[in-house]
Amino acid sequence: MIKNKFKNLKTHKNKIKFIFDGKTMFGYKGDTLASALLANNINMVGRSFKYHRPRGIFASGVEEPNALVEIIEDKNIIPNIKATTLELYEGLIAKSQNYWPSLKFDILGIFDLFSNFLVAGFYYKTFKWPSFFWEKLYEPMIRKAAGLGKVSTNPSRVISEKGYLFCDFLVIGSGPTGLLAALILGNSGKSVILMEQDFVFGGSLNRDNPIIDNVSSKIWKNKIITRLENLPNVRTMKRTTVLGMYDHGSFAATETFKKESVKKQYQILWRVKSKKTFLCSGSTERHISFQNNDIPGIMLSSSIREYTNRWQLKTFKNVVFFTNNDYPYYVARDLISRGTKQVSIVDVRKEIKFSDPTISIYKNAEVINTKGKRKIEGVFIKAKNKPILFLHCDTLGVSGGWNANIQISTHTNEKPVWNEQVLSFVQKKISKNSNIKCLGSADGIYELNDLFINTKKEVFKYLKTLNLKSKNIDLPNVNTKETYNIKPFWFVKYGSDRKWVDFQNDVTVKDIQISYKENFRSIEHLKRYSTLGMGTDQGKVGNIVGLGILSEISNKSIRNIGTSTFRPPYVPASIDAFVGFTKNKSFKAKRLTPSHAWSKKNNSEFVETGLWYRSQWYPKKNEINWLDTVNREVLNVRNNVGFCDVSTLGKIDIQGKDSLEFINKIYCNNFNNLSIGKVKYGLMLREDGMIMDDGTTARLDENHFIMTTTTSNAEKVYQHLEFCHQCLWPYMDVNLISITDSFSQFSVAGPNSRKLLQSILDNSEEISNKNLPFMGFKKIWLKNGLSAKIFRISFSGELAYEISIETQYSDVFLEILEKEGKKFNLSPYGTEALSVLRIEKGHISGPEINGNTSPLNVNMLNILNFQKDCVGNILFQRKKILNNNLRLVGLLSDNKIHSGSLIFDKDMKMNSENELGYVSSSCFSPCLGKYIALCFFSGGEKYFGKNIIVKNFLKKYKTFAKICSPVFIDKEGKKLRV
Amino acid sequence: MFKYNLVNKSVAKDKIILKSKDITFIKKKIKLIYSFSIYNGQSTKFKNNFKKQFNLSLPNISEYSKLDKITVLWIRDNSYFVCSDFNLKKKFEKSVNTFYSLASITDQSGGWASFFIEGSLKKMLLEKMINIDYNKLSEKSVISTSFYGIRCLFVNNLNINKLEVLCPISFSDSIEKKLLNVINFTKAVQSNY
Repeated sequence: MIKNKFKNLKTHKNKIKFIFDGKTMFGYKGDTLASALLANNINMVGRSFKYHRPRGIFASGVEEPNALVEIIEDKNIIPNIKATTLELYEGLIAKSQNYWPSLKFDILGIFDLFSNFLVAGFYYKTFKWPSFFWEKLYEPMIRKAAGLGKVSTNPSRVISEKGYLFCDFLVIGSGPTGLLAALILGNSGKSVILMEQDFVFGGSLNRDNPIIDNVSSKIWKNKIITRLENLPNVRTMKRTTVLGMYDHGSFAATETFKKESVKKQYQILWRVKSKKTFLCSGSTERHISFQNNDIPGIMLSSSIREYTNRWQLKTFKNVVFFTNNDYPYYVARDLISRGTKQVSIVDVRKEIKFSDPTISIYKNAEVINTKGKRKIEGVFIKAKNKPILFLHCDTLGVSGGWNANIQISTHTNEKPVWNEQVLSFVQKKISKNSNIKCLGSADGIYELNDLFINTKKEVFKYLKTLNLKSKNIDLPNVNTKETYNIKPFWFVKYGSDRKWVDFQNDVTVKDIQISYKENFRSIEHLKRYSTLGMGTDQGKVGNIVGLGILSEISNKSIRNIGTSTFRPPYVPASIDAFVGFTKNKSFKAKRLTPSHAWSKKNNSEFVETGLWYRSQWYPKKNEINWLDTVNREVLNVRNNVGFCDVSTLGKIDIQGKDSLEFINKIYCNNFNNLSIGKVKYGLMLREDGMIMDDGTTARLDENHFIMTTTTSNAEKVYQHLEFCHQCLWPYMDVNLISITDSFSQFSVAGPNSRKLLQSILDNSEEISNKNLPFMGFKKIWLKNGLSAKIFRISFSGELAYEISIETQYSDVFLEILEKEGKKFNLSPYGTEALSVLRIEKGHISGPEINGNTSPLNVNMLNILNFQKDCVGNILFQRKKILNNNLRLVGLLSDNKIHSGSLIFDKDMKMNSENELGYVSSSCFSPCLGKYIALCFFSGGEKYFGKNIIVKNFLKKYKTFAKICSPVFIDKEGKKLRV
Repeated sequence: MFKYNLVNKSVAKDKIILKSKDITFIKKKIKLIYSFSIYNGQSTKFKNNFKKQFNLSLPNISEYSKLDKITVLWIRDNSYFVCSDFNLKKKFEKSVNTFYSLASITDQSGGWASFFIEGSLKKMLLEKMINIDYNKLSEKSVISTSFYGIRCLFVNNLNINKLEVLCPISFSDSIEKKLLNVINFTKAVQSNY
């Protein structure tokens, strides 16, 4: 039966069905899972991490340490969701966690009996002997027992996006401070964003329910929000949690969207850039540590107030408060006004201003123990010089003071300072250039009246420094005044050691004492040794209590101890939010070649080459495996004609009167002799003299060139050219334009390539051997009227041409090629065959241009022009490079050779001292019927004919091979010039 | 060379990807795009000739200018994209020929895919696409920025609910999916605003 009733939401329409631990329950719209569970009299909601003690709902917001549940959606499980912040929705299925076999009877609760052996740091002292037990027993056992919640391996249902927001002022928190600050800032005309993590605006107004300007806080709040929403320059955002502050006024925030059904949830990760930020995140209550202070039914007094005022629960019938400050007295009044029959307050202070006949007050007293296991039954209290008294209760509210929520303001390493008056860390006095200012209770101001005065003053003061004006607004009049007087009190000394400080990680006062004894005395060491504050609650209720205890043990002030470093995220954030859209197939963008659709239709297998999807091979039905396919494709090129889409090669259009000089400075070989209509091979060096890339450059006109690069270096080379032009030679009149996407390029290679192309050209004579010799270039016309560029260059070592045609005509070109190609048995070949062909020909490519090779290593010293000024020329001539004796050679073997293998003399020990070289590329050559490879070998061609061992240590494989020329096919290059 | 009937089918016509009351998303057919990069010392001559040929002034930094069927996008210092209907290529080439001594010219028509987004959700979409303050943009702006890791051009007019996105053609499939995802996401959550 549901015991809570919302004044305006009593209707059936607002009733929500949900399931918790297999039981169907009901809540109402606006409930959190926690408020709905309490309304359904569910007290125990989980088990603690280490000792598996029963745990109940402790708080009402992000500070909750106990009520962590799993959400189950179909096969997807989302663990560790705080029930106190989860907005109830129709069809929610939630489950408590961390027990076996059931929540009520958890066998692992036996750990509680061994608590003396499981104190802080026990794992540093145990699981050491025998050492072989570690891998087989201890580690698997610990892994099974450790962790909180289960992770699902199914894809997340959350749909995430990312976005960017910009504003002049960011206001974090929509409590009384935030609302007032946003209104003043909004009235200045500048852009303001107000972010609230809850699904309703109002912050502490929803909890404390003060009367402001003679109206309820709800009415007052709604008035302000309406005014804010009517300002076009103000944006209000609910369900938006600021996760962290970064440099230069940047913030990360996640916004979630109300879940209408279980099917989809949406969230955005916002990157917010603000000129100035006001942190109005309020404050969080902390507890007091005493014996057995962790059982279900013990809650923060502020959460009792919130469940009573905001969600109007009537479950608290007999309540005791334990406090060191004034706050619970106001909570008690609220409870009594809503029908709670019995309220008592145990106050550690001697002098108390309050007196109320309806409340039993015990001054100068402490709660020393509790009774109950799965639900509190009562408390034992002791006043000075008085006997121990037992009070029955169904709820114990604790209040040890308030912590200003300053965490976000310290994310860029600004340390907070301890305020002895309010017993909280607050933001230190800031310079006017600081991007963030704490206001209100986030700045240690807890009384509402003072809060409004201070907020108005600070915001107007700030606007004045910017010469901005805002409409003067009347200070809100707080009709219900609440004071905040506090006495420092961290833990009850009476009683056993079972006094909890951190509920989630089962850290007790004893653990802090042990840490101190074992010399882990700085707060950072204490945290890590005891795991205080390292759970998903991030120590929001327990850290300061732990600090206070350390201060008493060590006799050092909290000011001197300091606090551990707060880091983003402020609350746990799902990795899904950071990943966004880039999941599964959308992990990265795909880049498709112009022939992609055609290749797909023709059964191609694709391979990822960076972002490109290139055809790897085109299998036919009768082929057993990929090697069959590749061998066929290679032999077809060697004996007939094949074609390959090489559009992925970088193409850079270079124009301008200084373009020849520019190219000469970029390449290490001479380009002065490149005439119009010719193509030249170019070797590009890095500044340090090592090879960066290679390619060809064609001269189209006097001052017009097209440079090609390898696929993987296309962007890098373009950046390099831009760098050279902008930074090294800005005086040069040259323009560089990437045309990689604008032109598709197809290689047609093989003895019949000329005949095939002649059949599709308007004038077949154009590409005769006389009219288009090797390394020539021409503009041509196809029979259908399309024009193209044709380059007679060869990567395969056969008679070959590369045809460049505007991308928008690539489909029709492929159609023509396919149609005419039938007469010649033309077939496509992919990157694998391309690789075999070039290895057979001894052409270098990516594996040889690996960043560690110089022109000397690849036998290209002869093309280098030492006379000219070009990138890399000077540093190439360093002794270490010139003395490097690795040279590109070939390897021939009857057995497979793996790339990356090392080469050794067959008579020497195979170790690093005796390494003679390494294999860069390898394949099976269908032309030779053997395995071949290109490798870098000490000494080079003088060892041709030598037998060596090739060993791959990773694959644990070795074979014999013979050193030979790297050019396996057509050494004289006759086929190229036919 | 101009052969419209031989253009790839995938870019021969507009393709409506999504049409609803608050947003329309179209992959546009091929458009004529010429890139002009002015040679050193030729800026004045180039601007004057440009005005003469197209009756249009060159746009300022990160802006575009438009007249009838010609749009000029600022790409970088002394570099512009001149865009028009692909059908007008023959006519266009006559004007282009007058620039050869003043600038390097490349035909980039086939190298770019163009997407049009139109509707009331434009501002909400821009927040998820560009990492620049939307409110600080000039009336007619061209934003070159990384979207889904890819360099794209966003052509935006503050006064109308239309946005054009240009991306390299090899990325068009991925960008189409990503844009559609952003649009569907925004449509799904817009009721929360």
